Amino acid sequence: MEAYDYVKENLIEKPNTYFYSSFFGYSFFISWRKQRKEVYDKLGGEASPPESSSFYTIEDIENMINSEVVETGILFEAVYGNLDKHHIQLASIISKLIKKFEVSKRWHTTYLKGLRTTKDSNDVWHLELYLRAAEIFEKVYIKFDNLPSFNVFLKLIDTLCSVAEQLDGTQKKRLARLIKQEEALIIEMAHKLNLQIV
Amino acid sequence: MILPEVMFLAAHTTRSQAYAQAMCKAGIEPAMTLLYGEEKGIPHIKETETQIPGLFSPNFSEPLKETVKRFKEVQHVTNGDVNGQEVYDIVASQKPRLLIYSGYGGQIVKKRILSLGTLFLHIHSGWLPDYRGSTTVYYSILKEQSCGASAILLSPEIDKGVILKRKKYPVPSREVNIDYVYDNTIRADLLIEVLQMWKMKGSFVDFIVQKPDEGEIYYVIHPLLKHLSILSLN
Repeated sequence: MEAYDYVKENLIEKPNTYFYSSFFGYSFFISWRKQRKEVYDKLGGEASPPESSSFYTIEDIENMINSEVVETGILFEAVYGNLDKHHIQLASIISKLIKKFEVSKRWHTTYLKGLRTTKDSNDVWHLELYLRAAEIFEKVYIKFDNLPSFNVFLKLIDTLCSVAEQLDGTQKKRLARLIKQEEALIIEMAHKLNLQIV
Repeated sequence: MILPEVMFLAAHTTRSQAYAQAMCKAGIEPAMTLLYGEEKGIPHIKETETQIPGLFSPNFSEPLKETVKRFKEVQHVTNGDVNGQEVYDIVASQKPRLLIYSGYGGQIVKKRILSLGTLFLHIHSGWLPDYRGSTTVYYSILKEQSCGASAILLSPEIDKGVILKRKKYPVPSREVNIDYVYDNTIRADLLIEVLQMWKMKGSFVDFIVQKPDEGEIYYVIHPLLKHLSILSLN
């Protein structure tokens, strides 16, 4: 059985391209669940799902994207808090965020106007951003069955598992919940495809 | 039959092998062939991974440079950058009307070379505009158990050029190597149909203009989704 080797290294330091990944059959799911359990068991329990109310409006989000400096953390809070109410208006922002992560596999603390990446490549270690982004894409996938969002979600869980020891206590519990959610969503998709993976 | 004013721009990839062999089989020869970049090892592909009923199966053990020996005008440059000066200079001097593009994965063809006036023909292994981007074969299997390919003229924005022809293909069996065999085989099949259209009319008269916001952009598929996609096949 091949090990699930997508979290062997710190993925913020050395992002994985996932290009031409190998196929191992059903045993791949056993390796994946084993790897996730190893991380989960060290996290000290699960947090409740995050609350989704937001002080920010959809207009605030548009203004944030068009400001000279975009504060990623605030943008994520605003996006997360508006997903229940304004999902159609958020579609283009979600697409931009997907592209941002898929291209670099990192989140910067700040971006320039229009989400352009700054030249400072050292501001990618704010782990709260990765957690919040995972919570955003989890929600987008569940609400809209959007595969590109699920793809980002899965890569974010890999990234977070690769740096799990650096998370604080509360963040660890949030990751634990996300790991369980990832497992449930993959199993659900397998069932829809008539596949028995567990 | 030689296609005048048509250039085949080929990186050393399995896709170029599939294209070259499919053209030979169809009796189509581009007037010019430009191989660019360094020769690389060919991935090991088992014979059981190559069987796709109804489609021409390329022989990936045949090196590209051997196949293109059957073409008359062949040039080589070692620089593997499609936007590099060597490729640019040759395309600019030859001025083909149509260029069959088979580049390295991940390279984006820049405006400078696209502005030379040559039509860059690209075959995308996804039904456009619904499936833009990368590894779309896997996504379309997951979403609708079907696959497609689209022939487009390259534009500076990824997969947004005008669509010349689209075709649906039966999904592969689970044994078939999708990355190297199925993906390249369906692209080669559609390429031949498009070149035959060009041969008949000498231009592309019917096409579909894509709207900027149509469809979805996909990125390299996560291994978990890739496994679900493959395992869902018979």
